[in-house]
Amino acid sequence: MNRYGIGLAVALALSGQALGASTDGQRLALTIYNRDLALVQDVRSLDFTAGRSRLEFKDVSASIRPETVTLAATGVDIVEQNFDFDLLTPEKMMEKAVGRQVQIVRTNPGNGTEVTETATVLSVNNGVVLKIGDRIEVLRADGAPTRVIFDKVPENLRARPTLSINVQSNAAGRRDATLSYLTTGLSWKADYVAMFDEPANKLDMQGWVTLTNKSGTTFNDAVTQLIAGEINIVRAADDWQYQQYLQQQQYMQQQQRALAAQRGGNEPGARRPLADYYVYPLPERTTVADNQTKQVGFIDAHGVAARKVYEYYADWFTTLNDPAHAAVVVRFANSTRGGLGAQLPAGMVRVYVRDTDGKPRFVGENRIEHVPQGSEISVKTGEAFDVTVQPTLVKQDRAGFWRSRYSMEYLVRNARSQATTLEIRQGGLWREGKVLEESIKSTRPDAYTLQWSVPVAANGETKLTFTVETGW
Amino acid sequence: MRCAALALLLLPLAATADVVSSAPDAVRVTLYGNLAANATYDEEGGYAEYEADDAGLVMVSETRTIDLPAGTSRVVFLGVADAIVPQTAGIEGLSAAIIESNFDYDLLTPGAVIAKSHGERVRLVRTDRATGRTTDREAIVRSGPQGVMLEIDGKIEALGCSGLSEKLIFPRLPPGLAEEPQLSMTVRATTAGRHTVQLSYLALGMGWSADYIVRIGPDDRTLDLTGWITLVNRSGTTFANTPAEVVAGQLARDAEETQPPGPTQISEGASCWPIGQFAKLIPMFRRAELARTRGFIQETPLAVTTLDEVAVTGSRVPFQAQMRELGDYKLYAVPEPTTIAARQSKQVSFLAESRVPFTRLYMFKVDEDSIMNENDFVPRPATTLLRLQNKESEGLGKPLPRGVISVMESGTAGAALAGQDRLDDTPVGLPIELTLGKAMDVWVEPRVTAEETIEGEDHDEQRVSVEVRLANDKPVPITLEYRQPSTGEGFRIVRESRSHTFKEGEVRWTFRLRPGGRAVLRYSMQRPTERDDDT
Repeated sequence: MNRYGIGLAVALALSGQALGASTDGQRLALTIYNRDLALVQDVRSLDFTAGRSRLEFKDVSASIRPETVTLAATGVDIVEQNFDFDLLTPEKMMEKAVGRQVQIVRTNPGNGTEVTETATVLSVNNGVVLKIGDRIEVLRADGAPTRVIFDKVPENLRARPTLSINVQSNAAGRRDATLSYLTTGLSWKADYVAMFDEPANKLDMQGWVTLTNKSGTTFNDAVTQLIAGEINIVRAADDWQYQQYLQQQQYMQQQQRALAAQRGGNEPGARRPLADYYVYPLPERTTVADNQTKQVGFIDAHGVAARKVYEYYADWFTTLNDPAHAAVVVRFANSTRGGLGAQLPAGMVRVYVRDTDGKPRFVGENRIEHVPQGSEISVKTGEAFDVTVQPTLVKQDRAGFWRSRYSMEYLVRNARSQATTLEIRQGGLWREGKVLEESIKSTRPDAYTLQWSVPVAANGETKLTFTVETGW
Repeated sequence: MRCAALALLLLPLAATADVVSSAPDAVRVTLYGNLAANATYDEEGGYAEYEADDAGLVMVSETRTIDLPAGTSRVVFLGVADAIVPQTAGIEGLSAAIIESNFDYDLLTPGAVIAKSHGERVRLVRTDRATGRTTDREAIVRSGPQGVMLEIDGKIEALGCSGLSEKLIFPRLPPGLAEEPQLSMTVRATTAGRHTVQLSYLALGMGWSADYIVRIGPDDRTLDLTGWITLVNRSGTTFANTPAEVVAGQLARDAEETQPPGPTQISEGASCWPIGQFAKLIPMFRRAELARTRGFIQETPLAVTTLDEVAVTGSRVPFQAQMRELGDYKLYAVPEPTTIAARQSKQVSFLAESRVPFTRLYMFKVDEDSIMNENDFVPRPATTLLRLQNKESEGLGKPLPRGVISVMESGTAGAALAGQDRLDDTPVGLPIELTLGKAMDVWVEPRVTAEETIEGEDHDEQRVSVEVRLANDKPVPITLEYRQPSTGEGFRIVRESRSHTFKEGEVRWTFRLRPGGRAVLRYSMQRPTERDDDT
């Protein structure tokens, strides 16, 4: 409270409605990270008094992380920072009134007459016990409507969490002060629209950044930049949302492995790097309203070389009673030569094709991680209705000391009117895995995986057979 | 002083003019998801495979006319589907730069009004329950909505804690709160003009499923197959007179990312000081519950699974949905524009094939665990299968989107349901095997006659000998297939009374049994004993 005596001036710095209404040269800058974190830099012109004063900021983000707050202004030192989050509610109000006097207005249910008395609040445990004159009563025990009137709101109860900073200023006068802090509730990701032209082996790609504000606060007219990259953030161990995120990341990595995801990048990115991350500044000042998602375009590339492949991945030697459908994968590179020279921040790729009427139709979506420039990207859009695989484990034999021999048959059917090729990848090879015989020559992308390109005629079928031996 | 000056500065914020596109001129919907409309659960009660699609997916393409002024303007699109996924919204045909696209879902709720009215002057009206007299006081909102404190004449009081009839009257709506979520785009045009644009986006709450009805002919050799597309609209949006199409095939989906953003709705939850023991009889004014019953706290519209209405449009063949290719999927266009009302399902035909030849056969798949160490032998019923080929030469040859097939058998007393099965997406050329149920008069009785250990040089093997009796008590000849799964390392048949075929990981013996016919099968299978010490 008022620890500095009479000399203290309380400067209510730009209260409530002032935030963001680009007033007094107030300038907001937002740096938003991929997941639930943003750096807010709030430059305000403040009228400092010489000596000690207390600045109260009621209008900072409702999801502020108070331990990250800094205030910088010329000739101003910070004495202490306070973040009060004891919220004003009827119950809190009553608790703070224990030992104090309140006014009790009782309305007679029969005739509506009001009687006003002064009462002392004795306790607020499972009910409010009052002392009125010599009597002890429980508030509203008789069921009669009873109003309670308090003199004032206690100092540290507030309608919303409030940041206050006690400063020592060496001179009076108006100066710019920069308030900066981290807040949760803001995040962004990328959404890509890929218009795939299969016959031409090309795609048009638009990238949008999608910004979401659930911080509880509207940021008006802010200079906004987005950071792509995985920054390390210390989280509480019981942050279940973060735990969920980690699990999801782990799952995604497994999925990616299963899909031969992407080959690493080898081109220097055109994007301005900030240390090890990439920065996407929004071109204009923008208002990021509470409960809003906002999209701004950042990539618009045409004629990117792309092709469609059919894939099937088996992680083990097994029989399927019903045929499985091949995965449809659109593959393209974000290289300058391929027509898309840009890093791709993590997000969703939604693939569309043009139907016979020339209008786009959605054909599938998938996530990508941050992709450095010059990488090859594979996006699984779905499953081919007409290209199926039926795996059969024909024979499984013991082949010595912790070794087995597996004979597999993959029956690939193609009901399309064009010949096609299916890439079959077989996992499950362990120690000293080797091919004994095969109907089509395989390649070995890594020690534990075999890969075949199986050609299938239009309306035809091809049988891939092979026998492998592996330790386990 | 300063506060007044600041309030004035608030005004110039509305720098861009709003252009309101109140409704689309035309809409086309493309439904995905193969939504399971008729909840038919399989025996295990599992429906997991279809669960991810339960919310459905629809691509909405709207034609809209927009009159744009030169310069920067904000175009507000009203009348979009209520379960829109805003980040998928795209526009074609607009010759103006899109600066940004926004979706605002700060909704007008009682709680939001209070949260945005802190420090505002409101009126508190109290009605005396006895006399009906009202008092009207000016008040300033000091906190809320989780417990509202008011300042009245410089003193502090709580709202809704006194037991009096109290209400707040607000002089005006706080800005930025909308009745429904709003999609808008900020665009910059060099010249003023009229634009005809295509606004397209994905939305949830709509989907479709394929349903098939098979009628077996009296000759028991051919069947009639009809296929129905069931369009389901679980959303609150009605699409009137709309060209509709459905996409068959499995799309890669991300149900977590592709969903409407959830508005953070602030409920006006009451938090009063505790009302004592003596006061237990006083009904507590539970505002949160009240809000819920009044519908302020909305359940997601997708949670509504009951359908108000099921409409069946025409069963005549001429109005059949036409199939065409869409990438690696099949697209079926509903023949005429149709109205898909909110919470409605609707069926159109897409397939009608008559006299498709099929074979009926009976199958028994032995479960090794259930016959080993078992001496209480009872005849077990065989399973009835219908086998057909999805080929043009076999009277079919049509892509069959996955769905539920109901098989009707024609009997003396009319048609009867013989069973249901689930069909996967089936391209042309694949065999189809439908499982109908257990046959009453075809039975199989397998028993283990010997279990031996054969000692070998480097490992031992286990040999199991089985004798199977097979019987047909039907008045017609049948084909019966006995299936032994070939599982485990080194599995092989070492002796058999009749030669087998090997298919889909199973050893199969086929019998042709005349009416009243009996047969016996004997076989021995062998595999190495469990690997425990491989030295």
